[in-house]
Amino acid sequence: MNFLDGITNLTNWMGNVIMPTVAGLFFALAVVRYARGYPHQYIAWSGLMCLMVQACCAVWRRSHRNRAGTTPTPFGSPCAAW
Amino acid sequence: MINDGIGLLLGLAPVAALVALVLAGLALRNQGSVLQNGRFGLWMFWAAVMLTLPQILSWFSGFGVPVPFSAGGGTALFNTFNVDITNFVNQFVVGYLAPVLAAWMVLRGVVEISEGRSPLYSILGAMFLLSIAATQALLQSWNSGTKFATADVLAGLWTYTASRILPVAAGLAIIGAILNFAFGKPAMRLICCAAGFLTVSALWRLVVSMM
Repeated sequence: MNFLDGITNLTNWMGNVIMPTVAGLFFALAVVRYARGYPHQYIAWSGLMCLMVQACCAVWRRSHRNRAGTTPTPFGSPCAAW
Repeated sequence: MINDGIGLLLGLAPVAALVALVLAGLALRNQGSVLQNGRFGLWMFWAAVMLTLPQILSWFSGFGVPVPFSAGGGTALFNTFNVDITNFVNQFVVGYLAPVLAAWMVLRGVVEISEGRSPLYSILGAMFLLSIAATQALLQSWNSGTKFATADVLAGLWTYTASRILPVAAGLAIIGAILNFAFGKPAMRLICCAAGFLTVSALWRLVVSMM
């Protein structure tokens, strides 16, 4: 067992399982609020953002990788850094 | 006799590193953030020191003070004591007690949800406790065996955190920001946090370039 594997699986589970489920709940709540005449756009946007979390992460990480070239290793040669 | 005792203590240094990692996992649960209060970082530092203790002692040779001590050896009594302590830590503390403490942390996380607090630190602490052996192996893999081994281990830990852990943590921060936005809580702080997680290496280079 590795800490990185644990936190990676936690993030994947949150992004792939929990967030789409929460998005469905938000959309359902938005429909209910719309039917009753309450403000509903905020919760609908929240549901959309829940579905976009994977896309957000992918875009952020891709832009980060493009800027840095590869994974950041400023301490690849620790003694040389000083 | 004194040499045998010192050899015994040097032989127990990796075991002490394991205990330090367990204490770091417990400190991770109790802190509001990883570096706040410093106890998690402090125990991680001591784990790195314990794993590189022979390399630290090699500095004394450079100072002109010979250090003839090496780990292990000594009388049969000391060897038996060394093996017993090592077995106790590996089999009981790391193999049995740490998973039980991790299970209690998960339980504590559920209670924290009911109290309206975030269970993230309890979950992270539980994960850290479940990965003690792998973390020690990771720290040992960064030991260069030179006199700079302690700094090498800390530098390897920084690089691993910045390049592997923080990008994943940025994903968690984005998830937290969206949930905060949905429930009407401040979300911009977590967005900035995610941006900082993804650019910590660039921030480091920026600080270096300013010097």
